Amino acid sequence: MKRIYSYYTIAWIVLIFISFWSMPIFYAFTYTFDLNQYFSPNAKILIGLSNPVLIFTIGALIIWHKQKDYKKKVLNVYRKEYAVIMLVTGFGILGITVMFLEYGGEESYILHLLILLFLVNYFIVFELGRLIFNVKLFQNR
Amino acid sequence: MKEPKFLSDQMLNRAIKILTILILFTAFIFMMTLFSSFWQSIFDAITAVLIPVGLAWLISLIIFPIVRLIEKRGIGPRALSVAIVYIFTAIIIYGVLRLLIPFIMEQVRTFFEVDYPLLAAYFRSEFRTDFIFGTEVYDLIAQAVESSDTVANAAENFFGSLYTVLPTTILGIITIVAILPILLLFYLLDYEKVNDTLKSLFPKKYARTASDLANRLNHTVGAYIRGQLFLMISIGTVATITYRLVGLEYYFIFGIIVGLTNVIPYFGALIAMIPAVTYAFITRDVGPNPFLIVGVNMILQFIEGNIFQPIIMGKQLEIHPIVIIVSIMFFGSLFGALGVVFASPIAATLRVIYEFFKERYELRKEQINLVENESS
Repeated sequence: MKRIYSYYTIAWIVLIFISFWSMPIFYAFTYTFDLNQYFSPNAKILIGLSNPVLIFTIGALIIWHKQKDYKKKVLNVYRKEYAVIMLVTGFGILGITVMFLEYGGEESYILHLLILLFLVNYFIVFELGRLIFNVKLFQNR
Repeated sequence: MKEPKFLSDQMLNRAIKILTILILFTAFIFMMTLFSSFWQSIFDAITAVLIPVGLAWLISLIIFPIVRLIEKRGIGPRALSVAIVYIFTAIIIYGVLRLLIPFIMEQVRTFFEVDYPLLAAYFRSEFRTDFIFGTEVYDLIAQAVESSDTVANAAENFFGSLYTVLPTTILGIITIVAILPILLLFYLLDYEKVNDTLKSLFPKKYARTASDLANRLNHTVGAYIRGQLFLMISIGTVATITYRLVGLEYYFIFGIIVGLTNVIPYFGALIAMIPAVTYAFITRDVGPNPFLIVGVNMILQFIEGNIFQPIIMGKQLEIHPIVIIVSIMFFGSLFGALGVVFASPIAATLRVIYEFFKERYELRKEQINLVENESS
Protein backbone atom coordinates (compact mmCIF):
# COMPACT_ATOMS: atom_id res chain seq x y z
CA MET A 1 0.00 0.00 0.00
CA LYS A 2 1.20 3.47 -0.86
CA ARG A 3 2.21 5.67 2.02
CA ILE A 4 0.73 9.18 2.18
CA TYR A 5 2.87 11.79 3.87
CA SER A 6 1.66 14.70 5.99
CA TYR A 7 2.08 18.32 4.94
CA TYR A 8 4.77 18.61 7.63
CA THR A 9 7.11 16.23 5.74
CA ILE A 10 6.29 17.91 2.43
CA ALA A 11 7.02 21.36 3.88
CA TRP A 12 10.45 20.15 5.06
CA ILE A 13 11.28 18.70 1.65
CA VAL A 14 10.20 21.90 -0.12
CA LEU A 15 12.24 23.98 2.32
CA ILE A 16 15.36 21.83 1.83
CA PHE A 17 14.99 22.12 -1.95
CA ILE A 18 14.51 25.89 -1.88
CA SER A 19 17.44 26.37 0.50
CA PHE A 20 19.70 24.09 -1.52
CA TRP A 21 18.97 25.77 -4.84
CA SER A 22 18.83 29.35 -3.52
CA MET A 23 22.53 29.95 -4.12
CA PRO A 24 22.52 28.96 -7.82
CA ILE A 25 19.22 30.83 -8.29
CA PHE A 26 20.83 33.97 -6.84
CA TYR A 27 23.68 33.58 -9.35
CA ALA A 28 21.22 33.05 -12.22
CA PHE A 29 19.36 36.25 -11.42
CA THR A 30 22.45 38.40 -10.93
CA TYR A 31 23.71 37.08 -14.27
CA THR A 32 20.45 37.78 -16.12
CA PHE A 33 19.95 41.28 -14.73
CA ASP A 34 23.65 42.16 -14.99
CA LEU A 35 23.85 42.84 -11.25
CA ASN A 36 27.52 41.88 -11.09
CA GLN A 37 28.48 45.56 -11.15
CA TYR A 38 26.80 46.00 -7.74
CA PHE A 39 28.68 43.18 -6.02
CA SER A 40 32.35 42.46 -5.58
CA PRO A 41 33.16 38.76 -6.24
CA ASN A 42 33.65 38.17 -2.50
CA ALA A 43 30.38 39.88 -1.58
CA LYS A 44 28.61 37.79 -4.17
CA ILE A 45 29.96 34.55 -2.69
CA LEU A 46 29.02 35.74 0.81
CA ILE A 47 25.44 36.64 -0.21
CA GLY A 48 25.16 33.44 -2.25
CA LEU A 49 26.24 31.31 0.71
CA SER A 50 24.18 33.17 3.28
CA ASN A 51 21.01 32.72 1.18
CA PRO A 52 20.53 29.00 1.98
CA VAL A 53 21.31 29.57 5.67
CA LEU A 54 18.85 32.47 5.95
CA ILE A 55 16.09 30.77 3.98
CA PHE A 56 16.50 27.51 5.89
CA THR A 57 16.45 29.27 9.27
CA ILE A 58 13.35 31.36 8.48
CA GLY A 59 11.57 28.42 6.85
CA ALA A 60 12.40 26.06 9.70
CA LEU A 61 11.04 28.58 12.21
CA ILE A 62 7.79 28.89 10.23
CA ILE A 63 7.43 25.09 9.98
CA TRP A 64 8.23 24.67 13.67
CA HIS A 65 5.64 27.34 14.53
CA LYS A 66 2.96 25.66 12.39
CA GLN A 67 3.93 22.04 12.99
CA LYS A 68 0.63 21.16 14.72
CA ASP A 69 -1.46 22.24 11.73
CA TYR A 70 0.97 20.80 9.22
CA LYS A 71 1.07 17.39 10.92
CA LYS A 72 -2.74 17.22 10.82
CA LYS A 73 -2.97 18.26 7.17
CA VAL A 74 -2.82 15.32 4.78
CA LEU A 75 -3.53 15.57 1.06
CA ASN A 76 -3.88 12.88 -1.57
CA VAL A 77 -1.68 14.71 -4.07
CA TYR A 78 0.71 17.59 -3.39
CA ARG A 79 0.47 19.18 -6.82
CA LYS A 80 1.27 22.83 -5.98
CA GLU A 81 4.21 21.92 -3.77
CA TYR A 82 5.57 19.64 -6.49
CA ALA A 83 5.29 22.47 -9.03
CA VAL A 84 7.38 24.64 -6.67
CA ILE A 85 10.00 21.87 -6.40
CA MET A 86 10.18 21.57 -10.19
CA LEU A 87 10.41 25.30 -10.77
CA VAL A 88 13.11 25.76 -8.15
CA THR A 89 15.05 22.82 -9.59
CA GLY A 90 14.74 24.29 -13.11
CA PHE A 91 16.12 27.65 -12.03
CA GLY A 92 18.75 25.89 -9.91
CA ILE A 93 20.04 23.92 -12.89
CA LEU A 94 20.38 27.14 -14.88
CA GLY A 95 22.06 28.74 -11.86
CA ILE A 96 24.66 25.96 -11.60
CA THR A 97 25.46 26.51 -15.28
CA VAL A 98 25.83 30.24 -14.64
CA MET A 99 28.19 29.50 -11.73
CA PHE A 100 30.19 27.16 -13.95
CA LEU A 101 30.52 29.94 -16.52
CA GLU A 102 31.31 32.69 -14.00
CA TYR A 103 34.05 30.69 -12.29
CA GLY A 104 35.98 30.05 -15.48
CA GLY A 105 34.18 27.14 -17.11
CA GLU A 106 34.48 26.60 -20.84
CA GLU A 107 31.51 28.07 -22.75
CA SER A 108 31.37 25.14 -25.15
CA TYR A 109 30.56 22.75 -22.29
CA ILE A 110 27.43 24.61 -21.19
CA LEU A 111 25.03 22.42 -23.15
CA HIS A 112 26.70 19.22 -21.94
CA LEU A 113 26.44 20.40 -18.37
CA LEU A 114 22.82 21.49 -18.80
CA ILE A 115 21.80 18.13 -20.27
CA LEU A 116 23.65 16.18 -17.57
CA LEU A 117 22.15 18.26 -14.76
CA PHE A 118 18.71 18.02 -16.29
CA LEU A 119 18.85 14.22 -16.51
CA VAL A 120 20.14 13.74 -12.97
CA ASN A 121 17.66 16.17 -11.46
CA TYR A 122 14.81 14.86 -13.57
CA PHE A 123 15.41 11.41 -12.11
CA ILE A 124 15.50 12.80 -8.54
CA VAL A 125 12.33 14.90 -9.03
CA PHE A 126 10.56 12.03 -10.79
CA GLU A 127 11.26 9.62 -7.92
CA LEU A 128 10.32 12.24 -5.35
CA GLY A 129 7.00 12.80 -7.12
CA ARG A 130 6.31 9.08 -7.35
CA LEU A 131 7.26 8.20 -3.80
CA ILE A 132 6.31 11.24 -1.73
CA PHE A 133 4.24 13.83 -3.59
CA ASN A 134 2.06 11.21 -5.31
CA VAL A 135 2.45 12.99 -8.67
CA LYS A 136 3.54 11.03 -11.71
CA LEU A 137 5.30 12.97 -14.44
CA PHE A 138 4.04 12.29 -17.98
CA GLN A 139 1.11 10.29 -16.60
CA ASN A 140 -1.15 13.15 -15.64
CA ARG A 141 -2.73 13.56 -19.06
CA MET B 1 -52.94 -1.92 -31.40
CA LYS B 2 -53.23 0.71 -34.09
CA GLU B 3 -50.29 0.77 -36.50
CA PRO B 4 -48.75 4.30 -36.89
CA LYS B 5 -49.24 5.79 -40.33
CA PHE B 6 -46.26 7.30 -42.16
CA LEU B 7 -48.07 10.62 -42.60
CA SER B 8 -49.92 10.65 -39.31
CA ASP B 9 -51.58 13.80 -37.98
CA GLN B 10 -49.03 13.96 -35.21
CA MET B 11 -46.12 13.85 -37.63
CA LEU B 12 -47.69 16.46 -39.94
CA ASN B 13 -48.26 18.69 -36.96
CA ARG B 14 -44.62 18.42 -35.95
CA ALA B 15 -43.42 19.07 -39.52
CA ILE B 16 -45.59 22.20 -39.75
CA LYS B 17 -44.22 23.40 -36.41
CA ILE B 18 -40.58 22.89 -37.50
CA LEU B 19 -41.22 24.57 -40.87
CA THR B 20 -42.88 27.55 -39.17
CA ILE B 21 -39.91 27.94 -36.81
CA LEU B 22 -37.47 27.70 -39.72
CA ILE B 23 -39.38 30.29 -41.78
CA LEU B 24 -39.62 32.63 -38.79
CA PHE B 25 -35.91 32.20 -38.05
CA THR B 26 -34.97 32.90 -41.70
CA ALA B 27 -37.25 35.95 -41.70
CA PHE B 28 -35.57 37.13 -38.48
CA ILE B 29 -32.10 36.71 -40.01
CA PHE B 30 -33.27 38.56 -43.16
CA MET B 31 -34.63 41.44 -41.04
CA MET B 32 -31.34 41.54 -39.12
CA THR B 33 -29.33 41.87 -42.34
CA LEU B 34 -31.52 44.82 -43.41
CA PHE B 35 -30.44 46.70 -40.28
CA SER B 36 -26.83 45.46 -40.25
CA SER B 37 -25.33 48.87 -39.38
CA PHE B 38 -27.67 49.13 -36.38
CA TRP B 39 -26.73 45.65 -35.17
CA GLN B 40 -23.05 46.44 -35.77
CA SER B 41 -23.25 49.46 -33.46
CA ILE B 42 -25.07 47.34 -30.85
CA PHE B 43 -22.41 44.63 -31.19
CA ASP B 44 -19.61 47.25 -30.87
CA ALA B 45 -21.21 48.63 -27.73
CA ILE B 46 -21.52 45.15 -26.22
CA THR B 47 -17.86 44.40 -27.10
CA ALA B 48 -16.76 47.72 -25.55
CA VAL B 49 -18.49 46.76 -22.29
CA LEU B 50 -17.65 43.06 -22.41
CA ILE B 51 -13.86 43.45 -22.73
CA PRO B 52 -13.21 45.57 -19.58
CA VAL B 53 -15.86 43.69 -17.57
CA GLY B 54 -14.44 40.33 -18.68
CA LEU B 55 -10.89 41.45 -17.90
CA ALA B 56 -11.99 42.75 -14.48
CA TRP B 57 -13.61 39.39 -13.73
CA LEU B 58 -10.51 37.44 -14.84
CA ILE B 59 -8.17 39.64 -12.76
CA SER B 60 -10.52 39.40 -9.78
CA LEU B 61 -10.09 35.63 -9.92
CA ILE B 62 -6.38 36.19 -9.16
CA ILE B 63 -6.74 39.05 -6.68
CA PHE B 64 -9.86 38.09 -4.71
CA PRO B 65 -8.33 34.96 -3.09
CA ILE B 66 -5.53 37.22 -1.76
CA VAL B 67 -8.10 39.71 -0.40
CA ARG B 68 -9.96 36.84 1.27
CA LEU B 69 -6.71 35.49 2.74
CA ILE B 70 -5.92 38.90 4.24
CA GLU B 71 -9.41 39.09 5.70
CA LYS B 72 -9.03 35.61 7.21
CA ARG B 73 -5.96 36.91 9.06
CA GLY B 74 -8.24 39.48 10.67
CA ILE B 75 -7.27 42.49 8.57
CA GLY B 76 -10.41 44.37 7.60
CA PRO B 77 -12.77 45.94 6.65
CA ARG B 78 -12.87 45.06 2.95
CA ALA B 79 -11.69 48.53 1.88
CA LEU B 80 -8.48 48.09 3.91
CA SER B 81 -7.68 44.62 2.56
CA VAL B 82 -8.36 45.75 -1.02
CA ALA B 83 -6.20 48.85 -0.44
CA ILE B 84 -3.34 46.65 0.85
CA VAL B 85 -3.57 44.41 -2.23
CA TYR B 86 -3.72 47.43 -4.55
CA ILE B 87 -0.73 49.12 -2.90
CA PHE B 88 1.35 45.92 -2.99
CA THR B 89 0.39 45.28 -6.62
CA ALA B 90 1.38 48.85 -7.51
CA ILE B 91 4.73 48.44 -5.68
CA ILE B 92 5.42 45.13 -7.44
CA ILE B 93 4.48 46.57 -10.87
CA TYR B 94 6.64 49.64 -10.20
CA GLY B 95 9.58 47.52 -9.02
CA VAL B 96 9.36 45.14 -11.96
CA LEU B 97 9.08 48.00 -14.46
CA ARG B 98 11.94 49.86 -12.76
CA LEU B 99 14.09 46.76 -13.07
CA LEU B 100 13.00 45.72 -16.55
CA ILE B 101 12.49 49.00 -18.41
CA PRO B 102 16.21 50.02 -18.41
CA PHE B 103 17.13 46.59 -19.80
CA ILE B 104 14.46 46.66 -22.45
CA MET B 105 15.26 50.26 -23.45
CA GLU B 106 18.97 49.52 -23.59
CA GLN B 107 18.45 46.45 -25.76
CA VAL B 108 16.00 48.25 -28.09
CA ARG B 109 18.40 51.23 -28.40
CA THR B 110 21.37 48.95 -29.16
CA PHE B 111 19.29 47.05 -31.72
CA PHE B 112 18.33 50.19 -33.64
CA GLU B 113 21.78 51.77 -33.37
CA VAL B 114 23.96 48.76 -34.08
CA ASP B 115 22.05 45.84 -35.51
CA TYR B 116 19.26 47.41 -37.52
CA PRO B 117 21.61 49.02 -40.14
CA LEU B 118 23.50 45.70 -40.37
CA LEU B 119 20.27 43.75 -40.84
CA ALA B 120 19.07 46.18 -43.52
CA ALA B 121 22.42 45.85 -45.29
CA TYR B 122 22.18 42.06 -45.02
CA PHE B 123 18.78 41.97 -46.71
CA ARG B 124 20.10 44.27 -49.46
CA SER B 125 23.23 42.27 -50.23
CA GLU B 126 24.02 38.95 -48.50
CA PHE B 127 20.45 37.66 -48.41
CA ARG B 128 20.64 37.14 -52.19
CA THR B 129 23.62 34.78 -51.89
CA ASP B 130 22.12 33.04 -48.83
CA PHE B 131 18.71 32.57 -50.46
CA ILE B 132 17.63 28.98 -49.89
CA PHE B 133 16.43 28.36 -53.49
CA GLY B 134 19.49 29.94 -55.14
CA THR B 135 20.31 33.37 -56.54
CA GLU B 136 18.43 32.80 -59.83
CA VAL B 137 15.11 32.24 -58.06
CA TYR B 138 15.84 35.25 -55.86
CA ASP B 139 16.45 37.44 -58.93
CA LEU B 140 13.24 36.19 -60.55
CA ILE B 141 11.21 36.98 -57.42
CA ALA B 142 12.91 40.37 -57.03
CA GLN B 143 12.19 41.19 -60.68
CA ALA B 144 8.54 40.15 -60.34
CA VAL B 145 8.14 42.20 -57.19
CA GLU B 146 9.78 45.25 -58.75
CA SER B 147 7.73 45.09 -61.95
CA SER B 148 4.38 44.61 -60.20
CA ASP B 149 2.71 47.13 -57.93
CA THR B 150 1.36 44.47 -55.53
CA VAL B 151 3.82 45.26 -52.75
CA ALA B 152 3.36 49.02 -53.12
CA ASN B 153 -0.43 48.62 -53.03
CA ALA B 154 -0.29 46.27 -50.07
CA ALA B 155 1.99 48.68 -48.21
CA GLU B 156 -0.25 51.62 -49.08
CA ASN B 157 -3.35 49.75 -47.91
CA PHE B 158 -1.60 48.62 -44.74
CA PHE B 159 -0.37 52.10 -43.79
CA GLY B 160 -3.71 53.61 -44.86
CA SER B 161 -5.63 51.24 -42.60
CA LEU B 162 -3.03 51.74 -39.86
CA TYR B 163 -3.71 55.46 -40.01
CA THR B 164 -7.40 54.90 -39.26
CA VAL B 165 -7.19 51.78 -37.07
CA LEU B 166 -4.26 52.81 -34.82
CA PRO B 167 -5.92 55.83 -33.12
CA THR B 168 -9.08 53.84 -32.31
CA THR B 169 -7.03 50.86 -31.09
CA ILE B 170 -4.80 53.05 -28.90
CA LEU B 171 -7.89 54.89 -27.61
CA GLY B 172 -9.50 51.53 -26.81
CA ILE B 173 -6.42 50.33 -24.93
CA ILE B 174 -6.16 53.62 -22.99
CA THR B 175 -9.86 53.40 -22.10
CA ILE B 176 -9.46 49.82 -20.89
CA VAL B 177 -6.28 50.66 -18.90
CA ALA B 178 -8.01 53.66 -17.30
CA ILE B 179 -11.33 51.96 -16.59
CA LEU B 180 -10.06 48.53 -15.53
CA PRO B 181 -8.51 49.43 -12.12
CA ILE B 182 -11.58 51.45 -11.12
CA LEU B 183 -13.99 48.76 -12.28
CA LEU B 184 -11.93 46.11 -10.51
CA LEU B 185 -11.79 48.20 -7.32
CA PHE B 186 -15.57 48.52 -7.09
CA TYR B 187 -16.05 44.87 -8.00
CA LEU B 188 -13.64 43.75 -5.26
CA LEU B 189 -15.19 46.10 -2.69
CA ASP B 190 -18.70 44.74 -3.30
CA TYR B 191 -17.74 41.29 -4.56
CA GLU B 192 -20.47 39.39 -2.69
CA LYS B 193 -23.07 42.12 -3.30
CA VAL B 194 -22.41 42.20 -7.07
CA ASN B 195 -22.55 38.40 -7.25
CA ASP B 196 -25.78 38.29 -5.20
CA THR B 197 -27.35 40.92 -7.46
CA LEU B 198 -26.33 38.91 -10.52
CA LYS B 199 -27.83 35.79 -8.98
CA SER B 200 -31.07 37.63 -8.13
CA LEU B 201 -31.50 38.43 -11.82
CA PHE B 202 -32.33 34.78 -12.35
CA PRO B 203 -35.83 33.48 -11.48
CA LYS B 204 -36.00 31.93 -7.99
CA LYS B 205 -36.38 28.50 -9.55
CA TYR B 206 -32.93 28.77 -11.13
CA ALA B 207 -31.17 30.81 -8.40
CA ARG B 208 -29.53 27.74 -6.83
CA THR B 209 -28.31 26.49 -10.23
CA ALA B 210 -26.89 29.92 -11.11
CA SER B 211 -25.12 30.10 -7.75
CA ASP B 212 -23.58 26.61 -8.16
CA LEU B 213 -22.45 27.43 -11.69
CA ALA B 214 -20.92 30.75 -10.62
CA ASN B 215 -18.99 29.05 -7.80
CA ARG B 216 -17.66 26.38 -10.12
CA LEU B 217 -16.72 28.97 -12.76
CA ASN B 218 -14.87 31.08 -10.22
CA HIS B 219 -13.01 28.05 -8.90
CA THR B 220 -12.06 26.40 -12.20
CA VAL B 221 -11.36 29.45 -14.34
CA GLY B 222 -9.52 31.06 -11.42
CA ALA B 223 -7.24 28.03 -11.17
CA TYR B 224 -6.68 28.17 -14.93
CA ILE B 225 -5.77 31.87 -14.93
CA ARG B 226 -3.44 31.54 -11.94
CA GLY B 227 -1.78 28.51 -13.53
CA GLN B 228 -1.28 30.30 -16.84
CA LEU B 229 0.21 33.34 -15.10
CA PHE B 230 2.60 31.13 -13.16
CA LEU B 231 3.64 29.32 -16.36
CA MET B 232 4.01 32.58 -18.26
CA ILE B 233 6.40 34.09 -15.70
CA SER B 234 8.34 30.85 -15.19
CA ILE B 235 8.81 30.03 -18.87
CA GLY B 236 9.66 33.66 -19.71
CA THR B 237 12.34 33.79 -17.01
CA VAL B 238 13.80 30.38 -17.89
CA ALA B 239 13.90 31.37 -21.60
CA THR B 240 15.65 34.66 -20.77
CA ILE B 241 18.36 32.92 -18.71
CA THR B 242 18.81 30.14 -21.28
CA TYR B 243 19.06 32.60 -24.19
CA ARG B 244 21.73 34.49 -22.31
CA LEU B 245 23.59 31.28 -21.50
CA VAL B 246 23.71 30.25 -25.15
CA GLY B 247 24.95 33.73 -26.04
CA LEU B 248 21.97 35.20 -27.89
CA GLU B 249 21.96 39.00 -28.07
CA TYR B 250 18.73 40.77 -26.95
CA TYR B 251 17.99 37.77 -24.74
CA PHE B 252 15.77 39.94 -22.58
CA ILE B 253 13.43 41.00 -25.39
CA PHE B 254 13.26 37.46 -26.80
CA GLY B 255 12.66 36.01 -23.31
CA ILE B 256 9.82 38.45 -22.66
CA ILE B 257 8.30 37.50 -26.02
CA VAL B 258 8.46 33.81 -25.03
CA GLY B 259 6.71 34.58 -21.71
CA LEU B 260 4.03 36.79 -23.22
CA THR B 261 3.20 34.51 -26.14
CA ASN B 262 3.01 31.53 -23.79
CA VAL B 263 -0.60 32.51 -23.05
CA ILE B 264 -1.48 31.55 -26.64
CA PRO B 265 -1.46 27.75 -26.69
CA TYR B 266 0.41 25.98 -29.52
CA PHE B 267 0.81 29.06 -31.74
CA GLY B 268 2.50 31.10 -29.00
CA ALA B 269 5.63 28.95 -29.03
CA LEU B 270 5.90 29.31 -32.79
CA ILE B 271 5.35 33.08 -32.69
CA ALA B 272 8.04 33.43 -29.99
CA MET B 273 10.49 31.28 -31.92
CA ILE B 274 10.32 33.23 -35.21
CA PRO B 275 12.11 36.49 -34.16
CA ALA B 276 14.78 34.73 -32.07
CA VAL B 277 15.57 32.15 -34.76
CA THR B 278 15.54 34.76 -37.54
CA TYR B 279 17.97 36.93 -35.60
CA ALA B 280 20.18 33.93 -34.77
CA PHE B 281 20.18 32.93 -38.46
CA ILE B 282 21.26 36.37 -39.64
CA THR B 283 23.96 36.71 -36.97
CA ARG B 284 25.06 33.07 -37.11
CA ASP B 285 28.69 34.03 -37.83
CA VAL B 286 29.06 35.88 -34.53
CA GLY B 287 26.16 34.54 -32.46
CA PRO B 288 24.79 31.11 -31.53
CA ASN B 289 23.73 28.54 -34.09
CA PRO B 290 20.06 29.07 -35.11
CA PHE B 291 19.41 25.34 -34.65
CA LEU B 292 20.47 25.75 -31.04
CA ILE B 293 17.79 28.41 -30.57
CA VAL B 294 15.22 26.13 -32.24
CA GLY B 295 16.36 23.34 -29.90
CA VAL B 296 16.13 25.55 -26.81
CA ASN B 297 12.60 26.63 -27.75
CA MET B 298 11.49 23.10 -28.50
CA ILE B 299 12.89 21.74 -25.23
CA LEU B 300 11.25 24.60 -23.29
CA GLN B 301 7.90 23.94 -24.94
CA PHE B 302 8.26 20.21 -24.36
CA ILE B 303 8.99 20.74 -20.66
CA GLU B 304 6.18 23.27 -20.34
CA GLY B 305 3.61 21.22 -22.21
CA ASN B 306 4.40 17.77 -20.84
CA ILE B 307 5.75 18.36 -17.36
CA PHE B 308 4.61 21.72 -15.98
CA GLN B 309 1.19 22.16 -17.58
CA PRO B 310 -0.30 18.78 -16.58
CA ILE B 311 0.87 19.24 -13.00
CA ILE B 312 -0.17 22.86 -12.58
CA MET B 313 -3.41 22.72 -14.56
CA GLY B 314 -4.43 19.14 -13.75
CA LYS B 315 -6.99 17.02 -15.57
CA GLN B 316 -9.91 19.25 -14.66
CA LEU B 317 -8.60 22.08 -16.83
CA GLU B 318 -7.42 20.01 -19.74
CA ILE B 319 -8.86 21.25 -23.02
CA HIS B 320 -8.51 19.32 -26.25
CA PRO B 321 -6.05 20.92 -28.72
CA ILE B 322 -8.70 21.06 -31.47
CA VAL B 323 -11.05 23.00 -29.18
CA ILE B 324 -8.24 25.44 -28.34
CA ILE B 325 -7.28 25.98 -31.99
CA VAL B 326 -10.91 26.48 -33.04
CA SER B 327 -11.50 28.92 -30.16
CA ILE B 328 -8.34 30.87 -31.02
CA MET B 329 -9.60 31.27 -34.60
CA PHE B 330 -13.17 32.10 -33.54
CA PHE B 331 -12.46 34.54 -30.70
CA GLY B 332 -9.53 36.01 -32.62
CA SER B 333 -11.82 37.00 -35.46
CA LEU B 334 -14.45 38.23 -32.99
CA PHE B 335 -12.31 40.30 -30.58
CA GLY B 336 -8.96 40.65 -32.42
CA ALA B 337 -5.65 40.25 -30.56
CA LEU B 338 -7.42 40.20 -27.17
CA GLY B 339 -9.58 37.36 -28.44
CA VAL B 340 -6.48 35.34 -29.36
CA VAL B 341 -4.94 35.92 -25.93
CA PHE B 342 -8.12 35.12 -24.02
CA ALA B 343 -9.30 32.29 -26.28
CA SER B 344 -8.22 29.54 -23.88
CA PRO B 345 -9.77 31.06 -20.70
CA ILE B 346 -12.99 31.61 -22.66
CA ALA B 347 -12.81 28.00 -23.88
CA ALA B 348 -12.22 26.87 -20.28
CA THR B 349 -15.25 28.89 -19.16
CA LEU B 350 -17.45 27.39 -21.88
CA ARG B 351 -16.23 23.92 -21.00
CA VAL B 352 -17.12 24.41 -17.34
CA ILE B 353 -20.62 25.62 -18.33
CA TYR B 354 -21.08 22.65 -20.70
CA GLU B 355 -19.94 20.10 -18.12
CA PHE B 356 -22.10 21.67 -15.42
CA PHE B 357 -25.28 21.33 -17.48
CA LYS B 358 -24.28 17.88 -18.72
CA GLU B 359 -23.84 16.69 -15.12
CA ARG B 360 -27.19 18.20 -14.14
CA TYR B 361 -28.91 16.58 -17.10
CA GLU B 362 -27.44 13.17 -16.24
CA LEU B 363 -28.36 13.56 -12.58
CA ARG B 364 -31.94 14.45 -13.52
CA LYS B 365 -32.13 11.48 -15.87
CA GLU B 366 -30.91 9.19 -13.10
CA GLN B 367 -33.47 10.61 -10.66
CA ILE B 368 -36.30 10.11 -13.19
CA ASN B 369 -35.18 6.51 -13.76
CA LEU B 370 -35.05 5.92 -10.03
CA VAL B 371 -38.58 7.30 -9.52
CA GLU B 372 -39.90 5.23 -12.45
CA ASN B 373 -38.27 2.08 -11.06
CA GLU B 374 -39.69 2.72 -7.62
CA SER B 375 -43.20 3.33 -8.93
CA SER B 376 -43.13 0.22 -11.14
